[in-house]
Amino acid sequence: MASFFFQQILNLSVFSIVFKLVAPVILAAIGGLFCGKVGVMNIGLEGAMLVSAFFSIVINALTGNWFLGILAGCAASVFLCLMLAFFTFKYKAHHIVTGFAINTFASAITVFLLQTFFGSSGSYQPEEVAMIPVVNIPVIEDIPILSVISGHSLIVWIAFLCVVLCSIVFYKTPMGAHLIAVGENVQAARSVGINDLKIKYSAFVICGVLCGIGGAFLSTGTTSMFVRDMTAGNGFIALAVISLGNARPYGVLRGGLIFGFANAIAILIETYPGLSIPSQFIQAIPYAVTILMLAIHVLQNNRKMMAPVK
Amino acid sequence: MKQKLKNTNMLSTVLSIVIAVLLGCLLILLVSDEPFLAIKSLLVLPLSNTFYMNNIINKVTPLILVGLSASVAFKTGLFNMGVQGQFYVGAFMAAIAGNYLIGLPKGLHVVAVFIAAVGGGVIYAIVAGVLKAYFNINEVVTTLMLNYIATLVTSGMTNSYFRDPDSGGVIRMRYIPEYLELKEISSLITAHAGFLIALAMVVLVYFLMKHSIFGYRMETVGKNRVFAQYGGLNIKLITVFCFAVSGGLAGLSGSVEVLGMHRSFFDDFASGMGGDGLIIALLASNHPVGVLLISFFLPI
Repeated sequence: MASFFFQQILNLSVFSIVFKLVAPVILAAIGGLFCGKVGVMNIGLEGAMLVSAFFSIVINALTGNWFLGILAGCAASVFLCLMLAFFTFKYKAHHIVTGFAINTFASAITVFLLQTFFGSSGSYQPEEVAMIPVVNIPVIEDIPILSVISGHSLIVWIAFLCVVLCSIVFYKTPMGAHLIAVGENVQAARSVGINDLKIKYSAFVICGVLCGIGGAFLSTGTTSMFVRDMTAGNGFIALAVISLGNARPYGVLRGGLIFGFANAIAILIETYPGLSIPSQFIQAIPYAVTILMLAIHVLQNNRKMMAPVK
Repeated sequence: MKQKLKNTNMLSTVLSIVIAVLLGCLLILLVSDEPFLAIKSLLVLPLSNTFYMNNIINKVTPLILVGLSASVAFKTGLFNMGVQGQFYVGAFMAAIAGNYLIGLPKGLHVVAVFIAAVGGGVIYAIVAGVLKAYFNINEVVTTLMLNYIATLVTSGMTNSYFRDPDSGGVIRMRYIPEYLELKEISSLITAHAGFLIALAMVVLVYFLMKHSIFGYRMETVGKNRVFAQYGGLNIKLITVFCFAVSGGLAGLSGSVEVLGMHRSFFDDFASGMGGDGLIIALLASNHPVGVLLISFFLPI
């Protein structure tokens, strides 16, 4: 069995699985990070991704253009995020309650639309989907080991780019400073003339766009179909990844990659020939790993705090 | 002042229900070919005869329990999003105990089934409670993860090791022995006896919340954690206890559903249950009697 894994890792197929799994989680996590910075734990990430996955594939199939698909998905996702922001900031509803309602709404509305327009309650598989293109880097793809970084979907690169951009926005631009200020102390931010509502809503718009891209990747990047509740907890895992990364962009990247490897190994076990464990157990591994990693992370942090200061 | 607050609370609850019903009707008008027939069957038919009424009571029973489960946690300021998972664990344990503890005397067996179900829910919820209390990991994330784990693992078990060989295309366990089933309450009210259990729990939770020291402590922690800490309350223990109660109620709900309605554990048989519980608790603003009333609206 060990040799099987070694072979797989040598084949480098693990990396392509990892990147595929990680991209939507990282996108959602960075989006959630923006909301987190202004003091809202956005559990609506899941729903935002789901509506985006649905609308992007529908528009994609109608127009035959993957970019329009992503745009439509982003629009739907931004709409949901703004709804969440509106109820949270305008009517002071609790953000977890509202986020939960958003998720329920997203899950129901996609199934409802699926049933009314496509007459199916489970999945929608259009005949022709313009898949989001794969980036093949000319020279590198021929070099044995470096070829790992070639042949991934455009979205994978966008996800990594987002981490870098997010870090720059947070720590190098006025907007980042404003975001953090609003999140830490609204009164203080207001007193120096920051329009806190504008900052909060813009954080949610950014979150919506990122979730939109992530959702579109699920339905038109890795597969070419929409399945009900196809996000399968990706948005929630994104929340866990945020806490794993201490709410920092590069931490999110690291947390996301750890999660991705755990998940990839689970998939490898699942595809291991002649194994008789029920597949559901293996599907549960990523969620268990997430909880385990959160616990380990806390223990590590505690030890750091306990360590004597030199 | 307090009275006024209470009234606006009631008003907003009633208003939100009315709006929900109207939205539902609007949706039907949009898609249905015979909207008025559909709306009539939605709103009037369920109340028109005793058969439907009893059907509704059967549907309401687990909802009351999950609603209570969620409201106990909310009251303490904890978001137990894992009602769904605890429900499945409870239901699964009930079915296992019902099927595999056959040797026991009948009375003892009934007790054992309930203990297994409630205990399963409690232990499953305590995982999240301990992680929250002693590791300070956000309970929303862990309970959501635990939901997926519970759904998948019970499904895997039912699919493989515990599947009834005679179940045909349906994925389920064996049916539990007949004496374990919750019987009809009376010849007039043909709803199963789980409803009585649910009512008893409403009373119990009411006393726990309003007339017990634990209820007071839970509410204090829920309203102001810092104050509770300064007041010398053991917040960690209260958090774990509250999760245990919440999980126990969810597990009980699962067992009632198995013993009263399905007589077996079906793969992923009630996927919306946890969500319904949260919604009920919210609409009822965590009041046990409110939970009872709101639960009746949901299936209609």
